[in-house]
Amino acid sequence: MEVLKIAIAGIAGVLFAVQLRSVRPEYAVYIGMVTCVILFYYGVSRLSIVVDTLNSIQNYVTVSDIYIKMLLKIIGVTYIAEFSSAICRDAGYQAVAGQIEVFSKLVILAVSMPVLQALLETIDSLIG
Amino acid sequence: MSVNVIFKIAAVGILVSVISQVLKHSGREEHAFLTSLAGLILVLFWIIPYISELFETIKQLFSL
Repeated sequence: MEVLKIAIAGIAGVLFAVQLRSVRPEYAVYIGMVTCVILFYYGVSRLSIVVDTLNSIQNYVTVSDIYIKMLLKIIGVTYIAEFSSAICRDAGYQAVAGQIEVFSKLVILAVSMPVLQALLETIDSLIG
Repeated sequence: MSVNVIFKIAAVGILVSVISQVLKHSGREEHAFLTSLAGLILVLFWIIPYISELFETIKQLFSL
């Protein structure tokens, strides 16, 4: 049922944006952005359920806290980066969208470096 | 975070385009530009709180 509301809101926003695109192109971008923000907001409320279960899983499986935190951080970074680069692409600025994506990839790489190090250490301890 | 922001912005967009057309035809070019600028600022005033609230939720949710 919730999906229906989201779909209708999205289509209404797009129709307004299309209508305004010919007359005032900048308002088409604003309406696109606002629709994106609202739908994203509804999505985030669903995502909090996933995050809560992920945290509650922790006390069954003794996965060390760092990895779960890192996983959440990576999900957050991708979520925001994808959202903002899509808006920039929508407004017609591919280069800016590309920059945002490159930056988010670098952040994810930087965040996941410790895992790589831990892996190499364990391998080294096994073999060495 | 309700949906009627979309309709408010659409209304402002249509209003501004009509007003600027009228002003343009009556010879006041700079007024038309000022009206569209005012419309822009008004819409930004509406959008910015939504975007900042969204990013706050994300930051709090993912403990970024």
